[in-house]
Amino acid sequence: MEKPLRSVVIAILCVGLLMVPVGAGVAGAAKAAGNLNLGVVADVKNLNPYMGYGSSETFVIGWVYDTLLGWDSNEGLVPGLADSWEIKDGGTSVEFKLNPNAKWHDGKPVTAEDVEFSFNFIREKRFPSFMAIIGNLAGAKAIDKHTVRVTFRSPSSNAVRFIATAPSILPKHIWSKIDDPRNYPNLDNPIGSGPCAVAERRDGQFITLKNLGNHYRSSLNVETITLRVLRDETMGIMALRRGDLDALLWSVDPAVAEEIDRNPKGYPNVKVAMAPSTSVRTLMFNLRRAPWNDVALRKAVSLAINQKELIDQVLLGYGSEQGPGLVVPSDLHYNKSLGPVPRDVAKAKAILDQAGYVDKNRDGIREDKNGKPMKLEILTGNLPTSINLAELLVYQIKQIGIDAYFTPLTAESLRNKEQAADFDAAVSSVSFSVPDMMFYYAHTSRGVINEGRVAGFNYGGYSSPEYDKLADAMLVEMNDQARIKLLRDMQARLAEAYYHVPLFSSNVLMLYRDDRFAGWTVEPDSCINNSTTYSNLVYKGGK
Amino acid sequence: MSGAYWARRLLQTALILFIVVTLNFFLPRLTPGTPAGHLYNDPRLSPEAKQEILAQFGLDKPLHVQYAVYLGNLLRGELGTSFSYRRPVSEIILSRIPWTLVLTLSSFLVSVALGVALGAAAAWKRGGHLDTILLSASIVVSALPSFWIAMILTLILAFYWPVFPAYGMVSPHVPVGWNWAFIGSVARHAFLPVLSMCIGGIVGYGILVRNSMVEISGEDFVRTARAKGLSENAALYRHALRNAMLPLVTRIGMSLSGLVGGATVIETIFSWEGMGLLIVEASRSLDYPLMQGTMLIMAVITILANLCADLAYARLDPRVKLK
Amino acid sequence: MREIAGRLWRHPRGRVGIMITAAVIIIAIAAPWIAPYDPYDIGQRGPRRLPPGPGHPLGTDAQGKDILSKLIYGARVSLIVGITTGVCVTVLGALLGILAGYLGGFADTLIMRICDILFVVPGLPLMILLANYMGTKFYMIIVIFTMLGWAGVARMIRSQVLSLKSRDFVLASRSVGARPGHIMREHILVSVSPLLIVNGVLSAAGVMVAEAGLSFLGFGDPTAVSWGKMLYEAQSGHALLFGAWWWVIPPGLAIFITVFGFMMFGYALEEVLNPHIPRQSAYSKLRKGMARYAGIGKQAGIGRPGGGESVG
Repeated sequence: MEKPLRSVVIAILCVGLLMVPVGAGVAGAAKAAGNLNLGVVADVKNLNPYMGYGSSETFVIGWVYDTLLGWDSNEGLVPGLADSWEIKDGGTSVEFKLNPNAKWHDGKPVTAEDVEFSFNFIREKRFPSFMAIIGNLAGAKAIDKHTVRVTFRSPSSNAVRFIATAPSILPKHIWSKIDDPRNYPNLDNPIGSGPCAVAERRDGQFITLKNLGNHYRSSLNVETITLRVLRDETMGIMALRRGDLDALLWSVDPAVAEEIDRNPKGYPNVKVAMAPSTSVRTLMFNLRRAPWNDVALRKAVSLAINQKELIDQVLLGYGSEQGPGLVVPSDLHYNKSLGPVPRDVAKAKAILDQAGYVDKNRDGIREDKNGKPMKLEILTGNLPTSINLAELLVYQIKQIGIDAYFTPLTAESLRNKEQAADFDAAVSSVSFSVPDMMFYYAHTSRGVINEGRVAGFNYGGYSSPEYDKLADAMLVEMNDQARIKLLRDMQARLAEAYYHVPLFSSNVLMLYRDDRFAGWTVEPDSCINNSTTYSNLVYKGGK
Repeated sequence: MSGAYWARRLLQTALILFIVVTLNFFLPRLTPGTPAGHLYNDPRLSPEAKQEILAQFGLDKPLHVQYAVYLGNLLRGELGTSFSYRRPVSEIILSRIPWTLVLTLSSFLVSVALGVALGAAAAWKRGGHLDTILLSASIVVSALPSFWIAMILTLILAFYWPVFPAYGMVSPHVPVGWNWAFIGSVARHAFLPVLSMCIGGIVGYGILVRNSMVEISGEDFVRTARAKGLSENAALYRHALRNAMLPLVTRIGMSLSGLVGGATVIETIFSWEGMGLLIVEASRSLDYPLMQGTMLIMAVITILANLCADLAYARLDPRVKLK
Repeated sequence: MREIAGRLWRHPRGRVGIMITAAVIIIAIAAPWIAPYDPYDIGQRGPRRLPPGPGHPLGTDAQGKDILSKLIYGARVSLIVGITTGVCVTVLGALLGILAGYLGGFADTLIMRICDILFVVPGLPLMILLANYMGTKFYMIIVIFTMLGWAGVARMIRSQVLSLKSRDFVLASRSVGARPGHIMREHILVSVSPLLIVNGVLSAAGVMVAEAGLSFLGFGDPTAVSWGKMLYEAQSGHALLFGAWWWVIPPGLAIFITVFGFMMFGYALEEVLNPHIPRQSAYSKLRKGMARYAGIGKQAGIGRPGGGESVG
């Protein structure tokens, strides 16, 4: 009896031990020379340039396809598939001159007909990711072999930027034959005009791009780029530390960055790249609800918030304080006079006293104009960092005598409540890097309630006729300097409104290794994952 | 096993299936929030544009119309297109089930094989060392959460002594296919998950077999066998073990339903791309078609497994009369 | 009552079970006095990610909260969720099981079909959906577990009731003209109550593991300190990267010890309350017990205590 048992156990152990050398030999094959290994957390499920939206998908699509122009954080619009562009007819049309050397991966040349086809394709097939722009897009027409004109219904500087940098240009000879483009995943050998082609792909595991080496503009030096899909961030970091990966393309937990900074010897050759992000975390008030429609009250809360403590506790120091203009310093239209406002609890209390919110019964909580104790419910997400942030906010706001408490919700529930305008205040975030957003988040029309739902993203119902005038003008202003002036005025108005009270702006933290590749370049928001890096990256050698 | 019984059984099963399908449709829609939410996040969308996007996904029609469409598709065998993958749900599920089966089937086979061997060995010498060890182990193991075991195993075997990979299913750049490199790589990656899962299983089956054998060793037919002059060895093997099969098969039948969905937490820990992880992802991203498809498939498999278990039980034990 | 307590104490496993369960309950109640820090108080946070050392015997977590204090306070959530759910599941299951078994007919069919559906629908995605819809505060978790877990109890009680229905004392009562409600309360319920109590205790144990599993996946109460959530924070806080074993081992150990204690208590209780049943070997009871509260864990799809989620 025991003999069969023993032999079974021994057999299993043997099989298990055999696997060790078999597997170990295989892992080494991952590091071929000149191959850039990048870790990502999002899967590549769909390579349809007009349907793909995950970060990994847009990465791959960005290398396989070209757009008309590119965007540089310092210079703005730069050449892409088009060598030059010209805005005409008061902003209602743009003419692009294409690079004559551009070719599709199957050898055919890229012509203006492909561009004409692509834009009309978007309009006809109504791709959901471009729905926002379809309304304004009148059409595209090829003027000659390498010139194409795109026309809009009404002028909009952002529309130009969008159509020039967002939609990939598709080969007409392939896509005109596809029946159901919205459901076409395009996973088999996608043909584009970009520097790379898809060499190998395994669902849910990895995708490898091969540098074709014959691109008319790109200076990519790397032979191949492999995106390794990681489901678990910890494992990705461990793989980076082991050398299986060269960089991780997501912003890591500040705790990881702190650990690496404290203990660099435990992470040889691993570096932390830190870049300011372009989004600002805010506390958004519902201006439709009393007493939060009283700007003095909101200002007091704003003065009670200790941004430095939030950054230390929630971001572990990896962030920066933010001014009430809600635009980050790295943006071109930043209003320099609206820097961070230092915390001032005494001033906050004084403002509240003056405004009539006094603690009459000495229980530590002020009463409002009706004699009721002042309560502030803050809606927040339910992830640990959100809870941590909310706990700190509540703690800080209680210091000025308002009974603050928070309610954690799932992301969907939170959005639901925001759309129903059913909140006192909510932890939110804004990103005004794309200037048009200043319209969509604060214009009166975007805060109107239709059938119980807020029409746009102005959930708190901010409404100022002066701001609306500035915003309307900004949307159609084609002159860069004039537009920047308008935007700065708008920031000044927002700063006085205390609608979105700034909490902080976090840093984007990415990890990379410096032993196999050199040339990593850090830029705001994209951190190391930007075109400058890929132009500069050079393979140093090593296994 | 009368025909009438099975007819009634099938009818009941069909009814249950219908109710499950209906629940399947309505429950996800109860949760707040819109599916494909990423497509609404663009603040520049006008209400007309949003309506158009809804229409593209078939979400603009009233609920009962959507339900009818859903039922019609089901009857044609179509599970719809996933919102987040933008590929057919059936294709996604079919690609994930085999990976879950790798874990659950391996764990199942190891548990049964080792468990039976252990249990028989323990029953052979009642009160002996192995018996006591098995007893203590079973009490301890039944109180241990399997995901905790998984984390500890990962800590020891992937962090302190990096013997086994701690995540994923196969090393990249290993050519897919029936070759040694691929199989070996998958086996290495599956070792820790399977180990976590089958610790409890081995002990569970061991106890089951041991008790069955111990209980019936005093029963008449064994005594008869002994009286017939068979050696104790033969008596034990031939009769006791065979009769222990009944509760064993019952238990196996109960576990069958877990073959496809039972490894969710383990899959999450080890980033194993199986059905369990798919379900968690689909639920998190409110991908209606995918959620419905996975829940339906799992329910169907559970129902089928129950049916099979009942069949096997009835077949094995002639004393059971199914009324 | 005192006699039962006495017998429990003399029972070897009973003693162990009582001691552990009582210890955990006392720790949970006395948390504010025993714990060195208050994990809910922002002002009492220490340095982040400290390994065990002076001032923090089990170290601190990613936000600087003391692990030992979290462990002590965590007992509250696990116990409240476990015991309350155990009670609710047992009460609901008993009610419906007795109704189904005694009344028969339409009530029986209806209740049993609902049980069938509950057994067939995959538990975990259902739980995630319900958690999304109803929120994840711990009382909602109790409601969700109860909704999904009563079926196993109901089935078990129903089969007991079916066999009791034809027993003498019940028939005698009916012949005297007693109303069904009276019979169900005075006779049936009394007969099955030992079964219910034991099942309640064992269910509580199963629920504790299931709750830990749900929290571990991130669907637990986000503001409460619970052992499952501590494991979730360990996993998402990169414990494996930092080698922070003090984030992983204590909560799991706590779950294990508590569940172990409850199980011992339950089994001993069963032996003590049912002197009619011949003193079976504990091992066979283990087998039956695992099958019984497999219901809760299986509904969760998370696996019963004892690993082997789909098998064993």
